[in-house]
Amino acid sequence: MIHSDDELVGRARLGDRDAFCALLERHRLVALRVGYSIAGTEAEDAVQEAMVKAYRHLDHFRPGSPFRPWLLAIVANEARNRRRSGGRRNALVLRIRERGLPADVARDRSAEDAAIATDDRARLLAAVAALPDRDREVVALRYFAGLSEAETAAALECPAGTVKSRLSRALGRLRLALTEEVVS
Amino acid sequence: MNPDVHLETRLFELGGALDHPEGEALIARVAADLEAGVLTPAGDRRRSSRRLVALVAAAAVMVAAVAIEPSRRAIAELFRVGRVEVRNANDFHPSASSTTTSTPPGLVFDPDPIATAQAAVDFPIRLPHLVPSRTPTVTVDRSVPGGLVTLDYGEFRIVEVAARPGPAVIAKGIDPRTRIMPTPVRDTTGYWFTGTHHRIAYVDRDGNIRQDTARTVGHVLLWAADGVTFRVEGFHTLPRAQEIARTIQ
Repeated sequence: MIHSDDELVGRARLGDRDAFCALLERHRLVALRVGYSIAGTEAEDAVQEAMVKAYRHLDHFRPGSPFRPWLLAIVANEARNRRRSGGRRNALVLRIRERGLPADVARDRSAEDAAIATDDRARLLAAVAALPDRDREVVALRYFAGLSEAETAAALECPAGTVKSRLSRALGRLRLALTEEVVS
Repeated sequence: MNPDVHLETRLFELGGALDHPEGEALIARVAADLEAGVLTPAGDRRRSSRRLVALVAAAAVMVAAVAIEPSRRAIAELFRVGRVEVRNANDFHPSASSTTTSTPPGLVFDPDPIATAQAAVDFPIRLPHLVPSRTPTVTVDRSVPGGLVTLDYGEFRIVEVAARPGPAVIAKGIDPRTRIMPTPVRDTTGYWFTGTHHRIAYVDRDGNIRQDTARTVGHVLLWAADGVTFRVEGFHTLPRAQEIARTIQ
């Protein structure tokens, strides 16, 4: 039987840790994706810490609201703290999987197209990594984790309008960075 | 195309190509953290699982050193529960490890399994008392001395083998990252294995690991009672495993 997030949260709030672990398993990869976008190689430690904190603060979770944005807010916060405690002196380095695009995206592309696409993604990722932390967080939650703007706002605990403006600013910076690279 | 829409599409696509860690053991580590120090979601203070894991790793190395040094046996057995022996993972051939269940020779499937299984083994098969009652998928391996029974309930499995005196029939491979916690199970002491996925395999009559039967398993509760060695696997947390263990009759 497949349980909804709400059911699993309800059981977890009663102390059922297996239910909580099942819930975490469901959101593991997206949590790691967000953690990686913010904290790079510290992602796994950050997500582990965030998941434990989520369990300890389950009584603060509002029943009926979506679990994923709530969890990702904690993940983003923990990843941000990890990055800050590292002194921010080192530029964030993010990488693309060697195998590149999933098969459904890669199909029908020639080898040349694939090489261009790989290079394209690498440049875009470098531009994302160079964004200020706050811009990168909103990009990670909105695009890498696939949250809606409203969910992103909930995760960042800010008004939806703020998310819109941050996204607009981040996209502008990315466009500028990509354009400058092409010109140079 | 609107340049922002194009850029957004590329960002969505980029998210799927990030080389982030997969975190295969992440949830198991979180479960270990919760078990180490959190009793309720309201928030008890927790201890660092890394410190616990480090302590256990040190303990495991000490146990290994004590167990191996005075022994000239080829087998690096650390300790035994019933007829399951705990060994160093080095005894397992790496290529023999699998994350899927291998099918040992002699395996028999039966539509009326409990009675048939009982007739095939030398020990009384014990079943958990579940509400509502559920019928497991039962497999019997007669190639194991005394027989070995697996009761598969989907979310968890119970493996039973005779615990009478005699050579080990199952080997469990652990490494320094494996955490072994003695814990009361019914009226005896059991062991809760966590930390990293570890390996099990059947042992032949000469004490050699049957590499063809090796497989990787997650958390396991292991104990011996009433002439039977029990393994419960499939649970992230000890209380759930103990809950099932308590109902086995």
